Amino acid sequence: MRRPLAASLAAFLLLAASRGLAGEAPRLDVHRHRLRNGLTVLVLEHRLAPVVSCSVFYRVGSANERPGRTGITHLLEHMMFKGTRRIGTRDFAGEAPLIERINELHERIGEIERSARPGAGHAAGMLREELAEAERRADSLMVKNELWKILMRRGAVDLNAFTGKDRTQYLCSLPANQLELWMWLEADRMGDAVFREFHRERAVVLEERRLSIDDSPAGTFGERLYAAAFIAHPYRWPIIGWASDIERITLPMVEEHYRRSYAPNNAVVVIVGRVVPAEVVRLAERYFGRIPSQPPLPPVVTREPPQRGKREVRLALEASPRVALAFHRPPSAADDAAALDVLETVLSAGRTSRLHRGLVEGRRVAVSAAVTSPTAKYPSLFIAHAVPRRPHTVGDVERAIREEIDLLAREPVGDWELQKAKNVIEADFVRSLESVVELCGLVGTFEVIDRWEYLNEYVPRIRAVTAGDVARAARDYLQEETCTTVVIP
Amino acid sequence: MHDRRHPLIGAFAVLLLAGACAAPPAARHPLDLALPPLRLEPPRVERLLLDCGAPLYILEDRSLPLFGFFGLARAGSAWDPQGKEGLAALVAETIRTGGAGRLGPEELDRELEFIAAAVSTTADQDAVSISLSCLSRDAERALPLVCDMLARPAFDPGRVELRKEQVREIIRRRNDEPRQIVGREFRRLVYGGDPYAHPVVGEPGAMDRIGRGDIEAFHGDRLAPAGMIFGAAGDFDRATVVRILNGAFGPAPRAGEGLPPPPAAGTRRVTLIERETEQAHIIVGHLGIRRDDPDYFRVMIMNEILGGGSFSSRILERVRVREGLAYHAATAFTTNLRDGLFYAVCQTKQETAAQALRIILEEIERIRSEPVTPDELAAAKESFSNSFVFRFATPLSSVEQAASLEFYGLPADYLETYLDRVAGVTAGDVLAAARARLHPDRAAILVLGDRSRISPPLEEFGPVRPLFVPGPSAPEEADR
Repeated sequence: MRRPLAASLAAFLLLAASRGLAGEAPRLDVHRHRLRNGLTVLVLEHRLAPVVSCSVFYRVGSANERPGRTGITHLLEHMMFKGTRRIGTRDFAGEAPLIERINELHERIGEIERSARPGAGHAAGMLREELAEAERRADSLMVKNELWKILMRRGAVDLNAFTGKDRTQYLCSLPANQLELWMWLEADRMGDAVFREFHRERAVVLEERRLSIDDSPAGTFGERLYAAAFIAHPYRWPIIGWASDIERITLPMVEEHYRRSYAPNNAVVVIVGRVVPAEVVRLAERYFGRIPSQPPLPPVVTREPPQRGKREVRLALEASPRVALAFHRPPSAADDAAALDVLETVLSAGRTSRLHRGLVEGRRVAVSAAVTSPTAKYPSLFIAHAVPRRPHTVGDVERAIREEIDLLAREPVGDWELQKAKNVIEADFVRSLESVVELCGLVGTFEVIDRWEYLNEYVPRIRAVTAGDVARAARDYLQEETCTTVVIP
Repeated sequence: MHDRRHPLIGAFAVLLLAGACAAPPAARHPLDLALPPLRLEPPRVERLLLDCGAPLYILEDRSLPLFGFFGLARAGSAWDPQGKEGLAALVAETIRTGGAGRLGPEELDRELEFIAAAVSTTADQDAVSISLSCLSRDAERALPLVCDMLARPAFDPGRVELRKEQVREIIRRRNDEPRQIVGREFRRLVYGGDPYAHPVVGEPGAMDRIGRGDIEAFHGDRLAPAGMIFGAAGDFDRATVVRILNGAFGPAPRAGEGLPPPPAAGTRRVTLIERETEQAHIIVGHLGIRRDDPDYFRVMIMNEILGGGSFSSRILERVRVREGLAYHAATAFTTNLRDGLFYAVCQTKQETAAQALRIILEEIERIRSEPVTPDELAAAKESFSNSFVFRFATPLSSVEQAASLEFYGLPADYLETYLDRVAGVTAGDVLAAARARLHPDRAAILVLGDRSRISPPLEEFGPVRPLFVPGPSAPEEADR
């Protein structure tokens, strides 16, 4: 991407200083480079401090899975911390046959236990002894968590990974001089990951599921909401996967998923910080350039059919009442997205928002009420949720939300309210420019779901939204007939 | 193979920062890379005194058109009167929402939200804090409003009642999430009747006992601007900011601290909250250290190795990586103005609860009985010193660093000597810190889980005392 000279010099452009609609929108000067193997490299200079935030995004998420293998993308994300042929081992040649044997033994023990034949217990017991010995030998050859330890030692913060419905992000912020260390490690595991300790990690993921979903009413609520609002599109299953699927995912399945989806041509490297773009490109060529590309992942072809009629789910959970109304909406970079963002802000941002004034202050039926709408590549959800205040019921709250939405669809918002919402969105955008890790996430996420340049169009698009657009968005998308209501009564 | 456990590697890595050279062929191991030095240049945060006597930490930086401001008061929930738990949090919320100066509550909301000025007020155990973030062009409009909230809050009765209703509902819902229950009840077990024992948000029934007089008295005694610590960062004109603050704040003094001494250490005890959950939720620990403890660095590095350093720590490595028992397993020292908490926490299926708890207690015992390895020590110290730069990642974070030193009574040269203090920690120091600060024999052990499925039973850790916590659908909790 070539930009005018003045813009390049300013590198990290901040032109938001003037007032309201008259001011120039803030712009990011992201350098784009594409390696021959198809890897996209995006670099944004940010000179506030001598730090750098580094991420690789893979264009794969739970939406790329299929029934029976839900959760495999998230499980793969966990396995990516287990090392490579060079990281995590004292002797890979000695370790490799053990990894294979351990995996075989686990699978055979699993088969025997599931078969429940007479004498199965004894057979499994014998194998378990062999397994324990193989694991002991393998453990002695491993350097546990070496990738993590190296990065932490060199000052990493924000070290983590996220699996989403459309994307998987591996992130890390480092002192700026450690950029090459990150390149070494991240390219090494893109090309050469070794999945040690698969069965232990699968057990960890099952514990993660128990913790974040099964033992958490809020987690279960969110999971069931998507499962009800979608009947066909793969957004319907949870990112972490169904427990029975996770239990049956095998190491070869994960290895295949890795080969296909973690190819350089399916990845975006994003670097934000006190760096020189040409130097970043040189390092990226050097470390990532050798990794071969792969055939493209098959696209997600399933489209959610139009919803015919309202859906209602009442969850029987040991938890206090809550309610959510979920509506289908177009993707986050679609033409109507800006109007929906303004609509969301009018409904939900701050004490002067419609939901707060209408439900919390006015009718006093709820203690909180807000809208969330995830950043998504495919048509997703616009979710209004609220926490009722006793003695008011979920029905009272649902009716109140409906009334607020109907009012917005009927009567255009006033000038003050429209401008306030735009100011809030724009100020939030400017605030996000302060943090390298936040910028890294924004640039990579929009590149994956659309293209990063959307960020530079964002504020102008928001400014162009009219009161009529907001009312139309409410009418078109927030209809009672296409709503999925989920409640804990 | 490259031996990464060699003790000299750690020291070498720091020296490397100074030894830049031309790029060699790709290194066989990433720690062998020759990397350029990092120039650490913490910005100079200035401290000046406002006319009222309060300090203002200030850093001008024009990189972004943003203005950040905050104020800290020693006014946290530790100062809630008995029976009126939640008062500090109620005051914090309603100085923002109850109107201030010439503006009623709705006018204030409209004024702030139209210019997208984010104002938040929060309470924790130690502090009530107020913060403002706005575009720099709006600083002159937003800052006087924030000053009014502190100096001239109106505490509109409708908004106070609204908040009380919200708090009652939050308390009604507090037994929904197991994680929240164990965190709250563990604090109560360790602190007993101490002012650090109760939840910041309050206790059942307390809102009914808080009157307008309590709110006004708490504000007058504890939130007088003269006794606060302020910070400002970003793109602004310092003379204007100082003028606004001096014009807004009078010299009224603040009441004394008056916190009681911390409670005595307890004895080993096991408490079980019965619930039919998927996992057993485990927490173990006791009183910890103050933020200004002279052993702070030694304790924090010890904790990093024990369980604070995620995948670099012993407990996560054993419980999660080697045994596959849990997703989350960690230890922490929370530090306060007064003694904070030490705890280890983990969630695992009921059948492996005793095994996980045994490992945690073994690791606490092990770090008390043998020195950490040179490699563990070097890794923890390098992690602390190499990530130091992130404390100055934004102008506001630099100012917050400086102001928090004064809030916690730390020496003014704390940041200048930080790297030396980290570098000075030895394996002997870590062992001594572990012996002095970890007391598994006096730990409170709290488990929420399904007794019938926890096998072997928890009795191996001591006599088990049941604790009744009502379920979400139970009638409202009676006053404690």
